[in-house]
Order: sequence, then structure tokens, then C-alpha cells
Amino acid sequence: MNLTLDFTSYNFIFACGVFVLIYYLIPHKVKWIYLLLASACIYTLSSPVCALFLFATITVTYISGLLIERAKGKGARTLAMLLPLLFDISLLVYAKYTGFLLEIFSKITGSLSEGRAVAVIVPMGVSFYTFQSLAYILDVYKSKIKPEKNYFKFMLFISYFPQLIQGPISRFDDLSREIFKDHPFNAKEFAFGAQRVLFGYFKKMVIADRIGILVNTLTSDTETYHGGWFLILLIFYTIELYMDFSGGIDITIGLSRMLGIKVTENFLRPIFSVSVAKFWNRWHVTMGKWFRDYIYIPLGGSRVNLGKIIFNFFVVWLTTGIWHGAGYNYILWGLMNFAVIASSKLLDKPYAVVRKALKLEGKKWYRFVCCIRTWLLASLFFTMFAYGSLNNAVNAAKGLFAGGSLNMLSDGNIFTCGLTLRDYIVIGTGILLVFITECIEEHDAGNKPAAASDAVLNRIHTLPYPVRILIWLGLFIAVILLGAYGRGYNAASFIYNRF
Amino acid sequence: MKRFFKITFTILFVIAILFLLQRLLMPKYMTDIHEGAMIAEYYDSPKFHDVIFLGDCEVYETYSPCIMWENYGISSYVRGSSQQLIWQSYYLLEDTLKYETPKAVVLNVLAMRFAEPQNEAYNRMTLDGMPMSLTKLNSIKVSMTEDESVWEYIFPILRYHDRYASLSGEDVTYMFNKDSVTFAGYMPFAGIKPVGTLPAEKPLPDYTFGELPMEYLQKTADLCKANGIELILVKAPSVYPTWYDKWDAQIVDFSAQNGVSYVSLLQESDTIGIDMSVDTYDNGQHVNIYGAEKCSDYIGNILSKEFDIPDHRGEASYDEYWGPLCDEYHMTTEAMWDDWYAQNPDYSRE
Repeated sequence: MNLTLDFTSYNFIFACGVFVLIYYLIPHKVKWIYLLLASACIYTLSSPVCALFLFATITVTYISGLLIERAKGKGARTLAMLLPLLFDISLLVYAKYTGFLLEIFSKITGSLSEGRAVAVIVPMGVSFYTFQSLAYILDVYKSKIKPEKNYFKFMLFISYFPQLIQGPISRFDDLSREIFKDHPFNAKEFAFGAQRVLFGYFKKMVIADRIGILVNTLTSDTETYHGGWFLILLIFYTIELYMDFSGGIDITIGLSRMLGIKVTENFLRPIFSVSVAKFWNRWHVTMGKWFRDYIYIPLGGSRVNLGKIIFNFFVVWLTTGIWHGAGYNYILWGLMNFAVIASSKLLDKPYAVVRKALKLEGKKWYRFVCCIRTWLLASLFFTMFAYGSLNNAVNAAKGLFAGGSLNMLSDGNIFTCGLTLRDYIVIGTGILLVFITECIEEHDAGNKPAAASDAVLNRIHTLPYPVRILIWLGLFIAVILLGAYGRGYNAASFIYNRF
Repeated sequence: MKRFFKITFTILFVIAILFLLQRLLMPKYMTDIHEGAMIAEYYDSPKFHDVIFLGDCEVYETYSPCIMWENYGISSYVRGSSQQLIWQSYYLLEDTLKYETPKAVVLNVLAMRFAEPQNEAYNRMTLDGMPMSLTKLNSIKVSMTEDESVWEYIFPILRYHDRYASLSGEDVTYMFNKDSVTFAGYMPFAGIKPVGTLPAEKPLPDYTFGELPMEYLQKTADLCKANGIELILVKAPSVYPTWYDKWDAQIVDFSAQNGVSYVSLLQESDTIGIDMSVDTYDNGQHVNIYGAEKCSDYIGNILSKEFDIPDHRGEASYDEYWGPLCDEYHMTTEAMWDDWYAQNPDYSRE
């Protein structure tokens, strides 16, 4: 059986159905073992070679935890932390960045032919599970957590399959507490989890994968699709990424919830962010927290002089860019974010004066403008992901401001890129539905965005049973009928799987 | 208890909705591409066939059970489908044996040239019509091309989900009941397009049949043997695609080794009276009704005389079925020719 860790593959979906059923039929004591076997089985079947990388990271990290605890003296303790840390990072660098580093090396020395292909397998989710492992080592080192004594329980913490390939990057104390507690069947939690999974599939298969057809067309031929097309890409690619990533997170969190396991929220309606810095507090939350806790704060955080703060920002965004991928485009993307966040920090006081003078604080329209500005900036930066390089992006943007660059909207060319009018209607309706749910959640969240992820589910739960069933059945049928999957569509894996 | 009923009702309701949607979305093949409806049609026919024909278009366009009935009283059925691969023929036979055990199975060998799965659209036309069973799953498994999924065969709604945009009245009309598109599996084609210039015979690097078709040809012979069925291999008289002599020799060898018969209507074309200036509607690739009736008479004669396939004419249960079917067959084929000649005044019915 060709079982891959791909949420949208038929085998995964049907295997998960059977998996969840059996999960509630077995005694609590062995549930975690069952979870471990399932995780190991899915990952190994997906790629045995990649499983070796994962196994090595798990084993070294586990031993590190024990050695740190037993080490006597600061030097030994630091060594027990540092060596495994370097080992995990080395594996990540080897798997993910070998080709890129050789390319840089060849450009510097001229010793290798440019663009030489290096055949290194990139293990699925390597960035996610490596960062989870690094956090564990550092938390044990800082005595924030006790090391796990049971190797297999630790193995499950790292390899827990619903979150293995695209996060969230869970902390040991959070996830282990959830995984190893008792999980009696709770109908409401199960239903909420299933509903979240369904909504995740709606975002991914109906909206993101359909937009993906357009995005692939536009990015594969920038000679043809430039000028106004750049704007179309800018708008649609961010929406694709938004739906793709939040959809994947919904599936991860929903599936975990069906198992009785609460996983950290990782996507908190970034569309309502009023600044780029706040955008990254809401988009891939656990990644942002990881960089904050293990890079930004150890470097001094905000409790240093302004110059050092800016430097800290630089380090954080440079590493964030590199984390996303091996390529100059990712580094550039990180630096773009750095430039905006740093300048925003530098101009913080003048901005505050202007806001006060113009009485902008608390104005809804001003907040709305800030959200739009943030969204456009984030979208502009994401074009680095979409086009793969600055050159491509610049080429695509050529003629953007020329007259008639948006003629594709009036002359029908917009319908020649793989999407029909019907597709745009489906996308538009889907986006509207997601936007409405996010508005409700944001409204209920108030100042605590993480607390409102159930706002819509709770509201639907108060409706009469037949109405609830019709709502979810309607969404289920929408996924089945409108999903961009199967023959005729290029199956699109989750974009964040690549990071 | 109330909760149990609520959940059970909900599950049944969801299944019912999905079932209805699936019925609506699956192609019906009633007004176009009738070939897709042929396999399913067998299950509605009475199961009293002494001869079952298996194979690709060379079968369902060449052998007319009505002619064999009228001339020899043979009760037969053609389980043919477009580009039916040898392993699909094997599993169709396995499936047929669940309903009836014929005295003879006639298998066309043209598909021996395919060593591996070919085409999803043709797979669908053969496999979708079969009821779900282990036999069908096995057939799917061996027939799937690389980008196909077994789940899309088990739940066809996953394959046809995006047909919602192209649904027509046909999809509603034939949601539960379909019309018959064949005459006991035979699909008549009226029209004449004489053999003109055929593409030059391409030499092949290797004429040996693939392992997979050979394996399934052997399995077919073994299955027939195990059930006391005479297996008769045939090659239809089509002149294109090329049926190489070296292929033919392998079939001759196989039949000798396994004690099965091989009848090459291609080699016997002159004896049969096939005239490719009038008996083909597509440049010699397939025979038209004229050619099919000649071939049916020829094979019927062999089945009757050499394999002792009984004459059921005069038996009420058979007559009740075959009589009206054959009347309809003649009416239909006559009408088809009338239409064709009316549109092609250069040809005369003589």
C-alpha cells in the first residue's frame, strides 16, 4: 500500500478513518503505543530513507536529554547540550541545504560547475521536527522541563504524525501532557475535531488547490504573464498560501482533537494583523515563538539598546528566511520582513506622534487601512516564494504600471490560465465563507485571539440538530464535488511541507 | 437509545445522499460513447448462455448473438468492451462464472499485444460496469495506470465529482435505469468505408507477448479447464491494427500446448466471404453489420458442429427471450442501413 504523509491522498484519508476507529476501541494504556506505531508506520512507508534521518534525530536528542540531566558541572552540561544540538542542526543542514551551500561555494571558489545538482533527499518535515528537537534540548538544558526517560514516549513526541510535516512546532511539555493523558471518547470534542478537519479540507482542496492551478500557470511563464499578471499573482498566491497552510493546520488540530489531543493553535487569523510584526504573531504562531524564545530572547530581546534590537531582528529574520528554504529567495524574503519590521521599530515614536496628532488611535477605518497595508506587504514578500527568485519576480512585475496592464480582466484572458468563470465563483464564494468565519472568530476573540478558535463551531453547535447536519453535510458535499483533486487536477501537496 | 438512533439515522442519511450523488454524477453512456454501458448490461440479461465471448472491440463488433441464435439456436452473450485487456477478460470470465457456467468461452486475442495497463478511460468502460467484488478489485489492481487510484473505483464519486458542471438531462433520466445499447453484447455499426491504403507494417523490436498477458491467458485456460469449459481463441478479420505472423505463431503454440482451439477469422477471411470493400465501416479496422453477420454465421457453425453447442430453438424460455430481441435487432440494423444509404447515395443496397 502506497501510504504517504499527505493529508489529501486517498490512502491517508481512508487509513486515518480506520486508525481513528481502532484508537477508541483499544485500552487507554496502549493508545500512545498505537499512536507511535501509526506514526512510525506512516513515516517509514512514506520514505524509509527519511525515516533514518528522523530516527537519528530522535535518538541523539533523547540521549542528550538524559546526559544533560546527569552531567555534573556546567561544562559537561553545556557539552551534553551543544554536541547533540550541532548534530541535529548538521542533519538539517545536510538534508536541506547541501545543494545550496555547494552552489555558494562554487560561486566563491569556482571549483564546481555552477548549478551542479546534488542528490540529497530532503526528509519530510525535517525543519519542523528538528526545531522541535532543538527546543527540547534547550528546554532541558535550561531546566524548564524534565527529560523524558522513556525512549518510545519521546519518539512519539517527535514523530506524532498529524503534526510531523507542517507543524505546529510543539513544545515537549505541551504535547506530551496531551498525548499521554487519558483520552476517553468525548462526542462533542470528536465532532468539533471532525468539523475542523472538514473545514481544513474545504480550505485546502476547494480554494487553495484551485488557486494553485492559476498560480502555477502564472509563475511557470513570466515572459507571457507579466505586468498586470504580477498583481493577480500577488493577490492570489497569498490567498492560496493562507488557505493551504491554515487548512493544513485545521486538519492537524482537528485530527488531533478527534483523538482527544489538543495541539497548539498555529494560525490566528493573520488577515486582521495591523502590522507586519503582528502578522507574524498570528501566521505560523509556533514558529514565531520558537525564534523568539530560542534566538531573539537569548540575543537580548528588546532589553538592549536600539541598535542591538535591530541586529537581533536581523538575525531572527535571516534565520527565519533560511528555515523556510534553501535559496536566495527565502533569504531575501526574510530580509524584506526584517526591513519593514526594523524600520517600523525605528520610526515607532514618530509614528506614535503622527497617530496622536491625527487622532487615528482606535479608529476602525484606520485599523482597516493598516490591515490592508499589512496584507499587501506580506503578499509582496510572498512573491519571493511564488516566483522562486528576485529576478523572476522583477521580470514578472515589468510593465505593471503600463497602460492596459490589467486588460486581462476585461478581455477574458483571465479565463485562459486554467480557471474558468465557475472556478473563480467557487474561489470567491469559498473565500467569503472563510472570511465570515474568521470575522466571527475575531469578534469573539477580543484581545485573546487564541481563545476564539471554536467560536463558529460553538455557534453551530447551538443550532437544532437537523440544521447542524445540513450545514456540515453541505460542506462535506462541497469538498467532494468542488475539491480540485483527482484526475484533471495536479495533486498539490501542502506548500508548508516543502519548508 | 435516542442518541443511537439519531446517529444511525444521520449516517444512513449521509450515505443515501452520497449514493444518490454518485448515481447522478457517473457517466451514463446512453446518448454517446455507448461502449461504456455494455459491461453492466450483461447483469440484466437472463443467464442461460452456452457461449460467452470476451475481448475488445473486435468482439462486440464482430459477433452477433442474434445471428447465431437464428442460424444455429446458440444462446450466447458478448462480454466485450473497448480495449479490453487480457487480464480484464479473465476477471470478466471469473465474474461471469458467478452467474452461469457456459459450455464455451470465445476469447479474442488482439489484446495480447498489450503488456501493461493502457488507458484510464478504457479501464473505466470495462471496470465501472462490474458489480463490486473481489474479482473486480483484482481486475482494478492489475488494470490501473500509474495515476489511477483504487479508491476512485470503489467510490466513483471521487472520480466523477467534477461532472457536476456538465450534467445533462441524460444523467437524471438514466440515474437508476438504463436502456439497452447492445443486442446481447453485440453493437451493430452500419456504414461502408472500404479498405484503402493501410499504414506500412511497422517492424517491432520484439514480437514476444508480454509476461502479464501470457500469465492471464494461461489463467484463462486454466479457469476454463477447471470449470469444464471449452476455450476457443479467435482473431477477428480486421486488417488493421497489424496482427503479426509471429504473434499468430505464439497463439498457435499456446493453443497446442494447452489443448485449446484457435480460430483465425483473419486467415479464413476468404472462406467466410469477408470483402473489405463492403464489410468494413472504418478502413478495415472493424467489420460492419454485413461483415459481422458473416463472421457470426461462420463462428456459429464451428461452435455448433465442432463444439456441440446445443440448439435451443423451440424451447419456450429461450424463444421468449431471443425472438423479440432478434426482431428488434433486425428492425434496428435495417433502420441503421436505411439511414446510412440515405446519407450516402453513391452506394446502393445491392
